[in-house]
Amino acid sequence: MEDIQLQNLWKAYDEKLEDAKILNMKSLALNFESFAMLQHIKAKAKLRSLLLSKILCIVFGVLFIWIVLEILFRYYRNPYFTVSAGCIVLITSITILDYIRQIFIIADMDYSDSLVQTQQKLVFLQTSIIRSVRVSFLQLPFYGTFYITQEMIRSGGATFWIFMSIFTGAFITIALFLYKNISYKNISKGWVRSLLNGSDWKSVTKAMEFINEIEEFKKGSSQPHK
Amino acid sequence: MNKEPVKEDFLNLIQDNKKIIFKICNSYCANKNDREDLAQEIIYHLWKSGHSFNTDHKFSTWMYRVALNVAISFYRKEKRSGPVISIAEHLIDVEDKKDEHNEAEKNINLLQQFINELKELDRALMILYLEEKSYSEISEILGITETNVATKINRTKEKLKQKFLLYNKF
Repeated sequence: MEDIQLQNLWKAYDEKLEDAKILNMKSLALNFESFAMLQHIKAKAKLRSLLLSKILCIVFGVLFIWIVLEILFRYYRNPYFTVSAGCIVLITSITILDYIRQIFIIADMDYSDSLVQTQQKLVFLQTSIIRSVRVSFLQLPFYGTFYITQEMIRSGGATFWIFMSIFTGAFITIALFLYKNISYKNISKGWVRSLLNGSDWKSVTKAMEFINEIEEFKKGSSQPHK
Repeated sequence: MNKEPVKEDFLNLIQDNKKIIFKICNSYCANKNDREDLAQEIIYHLWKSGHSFNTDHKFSTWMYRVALNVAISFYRKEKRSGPVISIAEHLIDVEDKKDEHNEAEKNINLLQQFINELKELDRALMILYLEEKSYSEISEILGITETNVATKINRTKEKLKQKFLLYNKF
């Protein structure tokens, strides 16, 4: 088959549509106002539910940071508490900034941008749950260090150091393990899915796969469709 | 400017481009209800995004970007939005019955089927190629380089030809 044959087939398809009643313009013209209004309500409801979840996450995050900073203000003389609380605040702030970025992306979403640009923005939004969950787990080791005092360091003895090493070491290992393993590649695993509780993991997996497809498309190394 | 002429102009544009909208809907939705739902979403987004159209650019570039972006996003939705909003009569009327006895008709259906089997972005690329858009316009719509467009078109065309070859073989 030649290139021209493909194009001729497409032209024949076009001609076939010429005679077919494919778009009811009369109905569209008559009902245009109600059509536009209903579609607008539908789009607004979708946008509202999308924004609401992001805003709630930001509000709870800010509230959490505010509480931690309040406590930090009282106990800032303890360097162990200050460093631990500071890291927890920093990691929570990263998650909040990601949500704020998502709101800006939603507000800036324009379907008249190029396909690659628009679809990249959409998959970024769809995969936000993975980013926030895996980053949040990095806080874990600091929950095992915030209560340490100078007194404990001075007089804790071998038992204290053995306990702290095992406890903190385990938290660091778990945090790094979760950070590394919470990804779309492992999304079929039950434990990853339960950590992403509430999210539509099938959509997340598909979105992550689509990220790779877009990257391949940009590079020009698209693989045959299965 | 009052609202009426804008609406009239918009409806005229839809009338002029209805075959393109239909072909995009048909390439991204197998189900008739979904097709109608997608057509409504495309028309709504074209209406809503009207302000973003820059007259310095080609209208078709803008329209293809909006329509294909909406179609790909719609296709990727796990759950469709449910029942189509009824606007008195169906917006898109499509004959699902295909005349397989006619050779030309059979090839048209095969071409549609093979295009529908491509990945979402390759599908968009092929539609634009078959609509005889220039490489520079395709590159602008998709957001990839012209060289990449040329390479991908050749690769995708070969894929389609192979499918026709395989089909005719068996």
